Amino acid sequence: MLYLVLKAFHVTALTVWMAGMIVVPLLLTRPPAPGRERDPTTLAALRGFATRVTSPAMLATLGLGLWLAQDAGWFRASWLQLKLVLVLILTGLHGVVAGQSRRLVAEPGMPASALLRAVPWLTLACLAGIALLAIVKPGLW
Amino acid sequence: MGLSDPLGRLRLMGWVEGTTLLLLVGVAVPLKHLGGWPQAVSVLGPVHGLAFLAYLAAAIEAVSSGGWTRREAARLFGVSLVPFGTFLNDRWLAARAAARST
Repeated sequence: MLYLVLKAFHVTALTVWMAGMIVVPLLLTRPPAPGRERDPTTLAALRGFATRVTSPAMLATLGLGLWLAQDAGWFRASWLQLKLVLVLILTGLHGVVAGQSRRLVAEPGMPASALLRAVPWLTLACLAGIALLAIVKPGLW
Repeated sequence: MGLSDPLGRLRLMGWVEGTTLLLLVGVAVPLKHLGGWPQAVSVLGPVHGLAFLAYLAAAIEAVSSGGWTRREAARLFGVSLVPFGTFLNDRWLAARAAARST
């Protein structure tokens, strides 16, 4: 019962984290109107969302996920090991969003990096891989 | 060591990462193999895993916000793989934070 409750919170936190990882970089990289800079208020709001919502959701996802994996004894399973690689990539991408949003708030005229523009699509790819591995649980090696 | 500042967050995560690694290697693993008590590893393993990922996210955030050379970035990531590494790095990060605030 506890396992299922924790799993429900894990999926909820993951949903919030992924929403932030897709929406925040999409809005941050939206080009401003010709001849104008990005709106500082919008940038600050996006930065605030990344700090106050996405980051705690990431920590909750990771903490609950590690707890669940330990509780169920999944750490030796190949599918989980591969999933952890994708989680590592997502964690790194989260750092990119947090750092670049801070930089854009400080310098609104700065062009958004190619990596930040790619974050939503890389997030979707990792998410698809994670969902596949978590649901199918294939024996890979 | 303020949490609102990326360097402050990085230093805090460094301490947490280093402490959990030391507890895991210095206490939990001996308890498992010498004392026949594996529960400590079961608890501290995931806790250190979370601390490592949080440090990694904080390090990438700091580097992405700019002002770091490649060598400095490599140092930030490399120390997380070495026991005591994040403790040894803290003095450098503190000096960097002090230089930024002046």
